[in-house]
Amino acid sequence: MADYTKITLDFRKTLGNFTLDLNCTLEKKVTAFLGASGSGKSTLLNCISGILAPDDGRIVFGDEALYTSDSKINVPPEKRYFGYIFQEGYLFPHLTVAQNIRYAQPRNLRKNPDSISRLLEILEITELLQRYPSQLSGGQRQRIAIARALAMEPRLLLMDEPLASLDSGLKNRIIPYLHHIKNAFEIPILYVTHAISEAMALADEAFLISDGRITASGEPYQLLTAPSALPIANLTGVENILSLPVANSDKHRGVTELEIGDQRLVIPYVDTEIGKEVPIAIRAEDIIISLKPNLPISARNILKGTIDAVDDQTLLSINVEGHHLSVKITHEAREQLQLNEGKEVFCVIKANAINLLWHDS
Amino acid sequence: MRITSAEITALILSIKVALLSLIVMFPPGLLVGWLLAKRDFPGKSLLNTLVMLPLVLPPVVSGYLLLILLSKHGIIGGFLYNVFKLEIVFSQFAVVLAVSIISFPLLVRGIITGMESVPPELENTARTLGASPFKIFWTITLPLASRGIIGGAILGFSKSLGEFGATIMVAGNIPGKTQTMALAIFNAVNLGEDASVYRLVFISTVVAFIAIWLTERITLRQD
Repeated sequence: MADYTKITLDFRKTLGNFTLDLNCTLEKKVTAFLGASGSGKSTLLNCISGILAPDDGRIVFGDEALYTSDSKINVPPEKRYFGYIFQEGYLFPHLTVAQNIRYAQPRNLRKNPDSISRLLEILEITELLQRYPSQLSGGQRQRIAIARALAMEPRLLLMDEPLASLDSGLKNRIIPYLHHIKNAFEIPILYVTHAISEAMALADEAFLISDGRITASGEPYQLLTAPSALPIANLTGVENILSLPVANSDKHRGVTELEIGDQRLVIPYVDTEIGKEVPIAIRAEDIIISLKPNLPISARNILKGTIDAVDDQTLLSINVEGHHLSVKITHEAREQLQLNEGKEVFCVIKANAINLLWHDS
Repeated sequence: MRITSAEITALILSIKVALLSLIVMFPPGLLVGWLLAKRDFPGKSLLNTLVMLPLVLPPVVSGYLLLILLSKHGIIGGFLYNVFKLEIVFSQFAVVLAVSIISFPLLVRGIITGMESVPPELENTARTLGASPFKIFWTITLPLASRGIIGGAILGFSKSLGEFGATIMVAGNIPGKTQTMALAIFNAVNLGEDASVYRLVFISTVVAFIAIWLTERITLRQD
């Protein structure tokens, strides 16, 4: 993998009674900052883009100081050439799509004369050029915001939850565009999100951020499956993240079976080779606990396991072949079924409740 | 209904003065409106108070203060008289000045309303795209604030058209020179010329109707 411009973030910024306090170095192509809303993600991007000035510290891009409190350097946003894609898009409502894209001041006027047309092709927006933002769908708007930021030929791309305002169907249609962008443009990307699946889909490195501080960092999958990530997984709504090898895949039946020890987990069909690991997510409330294995029900998965921990009365941790599944139950159910540590149980999971996080096909 | 030439002179003078005032006050109005809507600086509330003061003060008081400043014995008037032999008081220039002071707050109010309606996020986005603050003002802030700006301009213009108190203090009531519509009505009432009063009141009312209708059309139009 090529070397990307090193970005040093070492600064503090207080807004009201919230303080963002960072000290990290970014060296990968796509870095994700994962955190709940209010954790300081947008403040972080505003400081990097120059919209907000930190209170003290330094921001260094390669060997260029963008902000230092020591020597009072603060490069204004228009001189940083960092493309910034906002959750809301912020297209200029009085300008057409073409005018919006042309609004960006290219960093190198003569380099890459055909880069804009390539951009329009990748993002499939050539048809939309004469429209106004009010005549576009949410997904189209976001694609144009991405094109506009890239038309500047930025040195770095900042993305602030670019998919958060879109419904899940649209999200899944935009993620491939982001993949294209990642592969087609040789610039580092800083991606801020509360959605684990987006971080998994795009990032080479991820930082967990909570209350304005970095609490963990690493390769996204390792980070998110680590036991320490559970509270963050809770914040972001998905408690169980597993990476399991494919046992077999049947296009006609529309299912793929994953190996979980000696047992099998059935998920909706994935076009991938046998033996390859795929990351999946299951919400704790989508798992049903049964005391018997042979139930006349439609759910495809009934996994045998042992309760190895009971948290706050309603969150069970179940050991299935060495993997820990978090299961949300009611207090009543726990008492009636006497679900205590050490008990053998069966986890019932619908195939459709299992979400594929991402796979490179 | 036959309108006399004196009445037409007063109407034309009113329109001329109001237009001149608008042209002269528009650039500083944009600057002050932009400063008050989009910038933070020490003395901001003082500037705001100064600009808005004539809206609250009786126009006669504003006119009186202007008179003190502009007369041959005043600070500004004295300087102009001694250096350039210029006398401002009781001239058409004084009328323009008087109506400008009174209508300026309305113009600026409209500009502020317009500019505050432009989300700062759009301006920040433009900055990250490499646009200078100057370019952002002309290409983002101004076009998106245009309704409020036009509304303020029409309201200010209408206010100038009917200004009475400040004008009579600084410019007097000289027919053909400083006598605007409002002053002409005042004159006609004093002299008991009822027919003339009715005609002038009718014309004023029509002008006011048009101004309000235009303002509503422009500022309330949905797209």
